[in-house]
Amino acid sequence: MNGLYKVAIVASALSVAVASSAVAGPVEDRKELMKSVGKSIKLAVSMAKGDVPFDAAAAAAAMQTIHDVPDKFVKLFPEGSDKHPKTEASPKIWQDMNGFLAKANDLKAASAKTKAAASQGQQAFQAAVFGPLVKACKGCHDAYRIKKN
Amino acid sequence: MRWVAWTGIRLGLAIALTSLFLMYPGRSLAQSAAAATPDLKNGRTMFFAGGCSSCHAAPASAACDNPKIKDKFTLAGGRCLKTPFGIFYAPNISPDKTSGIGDWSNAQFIKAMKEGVSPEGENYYPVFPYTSYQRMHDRDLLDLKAFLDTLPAVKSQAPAHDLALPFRLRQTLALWKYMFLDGKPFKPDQNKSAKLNRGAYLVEGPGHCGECHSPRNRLGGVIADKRFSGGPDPEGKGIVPNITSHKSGIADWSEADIITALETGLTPAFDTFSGAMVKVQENMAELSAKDRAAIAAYIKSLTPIPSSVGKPKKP
Repeated sequence: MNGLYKVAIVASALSVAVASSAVAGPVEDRKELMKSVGKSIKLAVSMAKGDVPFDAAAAAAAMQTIHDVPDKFVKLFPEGSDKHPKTEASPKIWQDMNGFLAKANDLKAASAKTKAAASQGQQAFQAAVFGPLVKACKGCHDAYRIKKN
Repeated sequence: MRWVAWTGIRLGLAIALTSLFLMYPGRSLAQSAAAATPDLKNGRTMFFAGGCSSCHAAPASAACDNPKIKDKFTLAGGRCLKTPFGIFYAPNISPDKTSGIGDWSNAQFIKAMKEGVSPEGENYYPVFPYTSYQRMHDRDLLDLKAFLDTLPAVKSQAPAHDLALPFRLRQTLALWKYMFLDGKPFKPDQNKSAKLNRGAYLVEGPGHCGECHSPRNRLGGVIADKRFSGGPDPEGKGIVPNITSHKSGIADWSEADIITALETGLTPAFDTFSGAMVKVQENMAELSAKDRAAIAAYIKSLTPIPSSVGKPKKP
């Protein structure tokens, strides 16, 4: 009985540890933030392409969401978080943190520009989305992300 | 690392055998180099389809692996590729007459692109994808050369490759070529549409998509029946995905999705391409819409094969 009891305690402790590591930790937080960017990009691209009716307020809100991400995002790269099995962050981030921070700033600038374009109508918005905005995404993904799946 | 050691051992053995192949006959020089006026616009298309600048454009800074380039038309070389075989440095292919390729004849250029042999008769390493470029039409190669001749000449000598011992011996490449370089030009399939044939030519020839999107055997040759099912990232820890329409590949991408991705860099999941594919995409964006559509049609027509890399996607 005693042995089984201990096993149960250890097992429940482990499951708590596993569960908490699945929701917390810098890698998971990074992924959540990128997902929020992805959702906003999806809306923006759909409106830029005309698949979804253009809505200036929604477009601007999506750009604001993206604009708020980089400052939070860059704080989530502590030493050692490159070793996480699921991370797609390139070791180059830690080798060249200044270069990485510059890319984060590029995204802030591009999303601000695209937000301003949203108030000028669908065509201006489309040009900004397929111009500076997507360019900022790619500009960081080419150097600092390693696709694993 | 284990397979690197294996490759080392096997290539070591190969060196012994290589002497037998040193007489390997260089394929006859393509003499169809008719003196027609080169089509620079077509040469430019071949330049972007071939992705010359991805490797040969000088990096933006002194760091030889800086993914940023100074200028895609300044092909001064110097970029390094850190592979399991060692470090390769891309040479200068600008029209400079001493450090570049400005004094090459048409025949020498074609021989380099299709046979992987330098004007001095030295074998090139297949990191230069002549296994794909060998499929190109001579006319396209000559237009490409004429286009390269219009680009700025830069005097700059790239460092010598820094490779592990067995690979340092270029003689081993004669055997490698005997096994993996078939010398066959692209042959259109009469039963397929002109569009599919154009796509096949761009993908298999200048585009050299299969060089990264395929797994390789221990000697570094593409595994033919797994072509396009994905491969390891030649440089990093990541993967180059399966581009066949298997469910572990891009079954859920339509032709229109591929066209959009090649044009903008956006995937159907509203993510973007990563790594080297970003530069490939930016080159693809320079092609005509018709050529991108042809590539997409051909890619969708590839036989679906389970992924050779990465985790299979959820069904």
